[in-house]
Amino acid sequence: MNLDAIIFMFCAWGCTLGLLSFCLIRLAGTPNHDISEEDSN
Amino acid sequence: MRDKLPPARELWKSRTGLILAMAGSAIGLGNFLRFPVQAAENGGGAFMVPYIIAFLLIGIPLMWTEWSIGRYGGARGYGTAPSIFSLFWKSPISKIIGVFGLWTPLVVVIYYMYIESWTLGYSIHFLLGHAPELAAGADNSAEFLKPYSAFLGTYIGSGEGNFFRPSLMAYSALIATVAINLVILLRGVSRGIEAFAKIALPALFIMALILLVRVLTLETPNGNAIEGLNFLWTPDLKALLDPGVWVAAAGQIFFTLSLGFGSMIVYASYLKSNKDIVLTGLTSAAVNETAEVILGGSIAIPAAVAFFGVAGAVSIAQSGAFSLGFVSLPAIFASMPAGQFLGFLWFFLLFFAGLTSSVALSQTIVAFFEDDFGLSRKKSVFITMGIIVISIVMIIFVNNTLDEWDFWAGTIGIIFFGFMEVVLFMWVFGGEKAWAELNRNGSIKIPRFFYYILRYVTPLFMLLLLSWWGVELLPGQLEKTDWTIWLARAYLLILFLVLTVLVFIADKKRSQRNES
Repeated sequence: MNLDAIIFMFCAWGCTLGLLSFCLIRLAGTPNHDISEEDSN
Repeated sequence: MRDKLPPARELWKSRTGLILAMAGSAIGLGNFLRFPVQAAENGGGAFMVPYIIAFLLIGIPLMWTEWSIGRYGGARGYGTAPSIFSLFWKSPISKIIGVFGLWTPLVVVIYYMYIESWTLGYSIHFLLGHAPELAAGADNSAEFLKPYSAFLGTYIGSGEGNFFRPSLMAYSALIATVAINLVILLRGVSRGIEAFAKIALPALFIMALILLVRVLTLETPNGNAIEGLNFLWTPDLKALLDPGVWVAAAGQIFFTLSLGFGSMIVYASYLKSNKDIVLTGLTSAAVNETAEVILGGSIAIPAAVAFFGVAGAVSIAQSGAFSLGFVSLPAIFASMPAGQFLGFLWFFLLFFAGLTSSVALSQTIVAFFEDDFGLSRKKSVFITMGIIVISIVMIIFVNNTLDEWDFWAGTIGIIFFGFMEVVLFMWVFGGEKAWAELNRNGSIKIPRFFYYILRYVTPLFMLLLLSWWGVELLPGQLEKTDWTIWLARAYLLILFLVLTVLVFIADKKRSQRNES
């Protein structure tokens, strides 16, 4: 693979995985996993 | 004030389930077929520059807008656009704009469900070992693919004239697809859609990863998959000067995040009013992007390059996403060791991707009958599926209908509706009120500059997109005057009028319920 392609591919993958990791880390730090609590169906 | 509506709307059971259901609604055939074709045709790696910019300026803001509108409406007993929009603006016009939030998903799901059934039909063909034999001794990609393009033609029954004559498998797979959608919808939001998403999304990622590993280890005399990645990601920076590339990237963001369909509003309406939408919405978008940029970008085009070389892959990409998915890829998989299994996996992956999206689109109409007419879930699901099944006849049999409906609903309709959503939320409802509603109980704080993006940049960007498509695509579309085209247009108009009448009847009934 040429260098330009590698840079663009890893930047795109990095942005995507970075966003996903950020979200998952922040989600893990928040308590409300059970979003409908006791009043769900 | 909260109206008298059916008691206790359903709610999502878990945040994970909601994220997977939302991501499932967004992850569709477009992630695996449309994205790689768009990237290959629009500058390769350079396509990611406008793509990421559009993701930030349109994708994320509009996604948050739809979640916000949905949660706001759900807290007041409303799930669909016509009713929620009239909370922002008490005018019949807001209801008519809201009708687009029913019409667009309805029209799209009618043809989408048929295409989804092809993926099921193809996966069964591969599983049973009924895939066509490859052309022996073919010396170019067109010859090599001939048995598979003929197979697709026979499957959907295309030929001379204006009518299709689908194969028995096409009918059977369609009946099965409708039945599976029906069962999931009948089970309800948490027991049906959420429970299914919790199985379907992980399964979809596992299937995609298996295919990804297989494709990346492909090596043929014509090339290998790494050359495919090289072809897909090598940036053509000159492409950035072409406005068409920017429009293509913005369009792809719309399709991939399922923006402007109205279905995200409905899903978000099943969220409790005090729950976060900022982080939850962002996570579902991130899951979708992972499926698209990493998995979607690494299967179809690299496999095509490995088999046909760069020149062959270019002509395959130019023949469009359908040809890539239903002609080239199955032929490629069939020519590999364990090809029947890989072909099955490819189409079953597409089927799961399609199913999670069609359920979301159908749920929009189900919610309309449930919330606005006070009908039971069972009745609402059967009425919705009845409308879909009756209308699908047009798609199955009449030539040009699919393309015509895709243009008006799946291209122009979603951009128009998305534009109106932002305008109604950020301008009519009020910028600061909308911003406060969006941030309410957020697990993370949205940077303030997004307020200005939402208020000014997003609507402007979408207006430009709408104008560009209006100028570039509309004249060509209007030049088509075949009777099948007019029939397709007339059907669309009738659907819109019927939905508009139903919206106003529902409104009248609700007023009567409130008075009594």
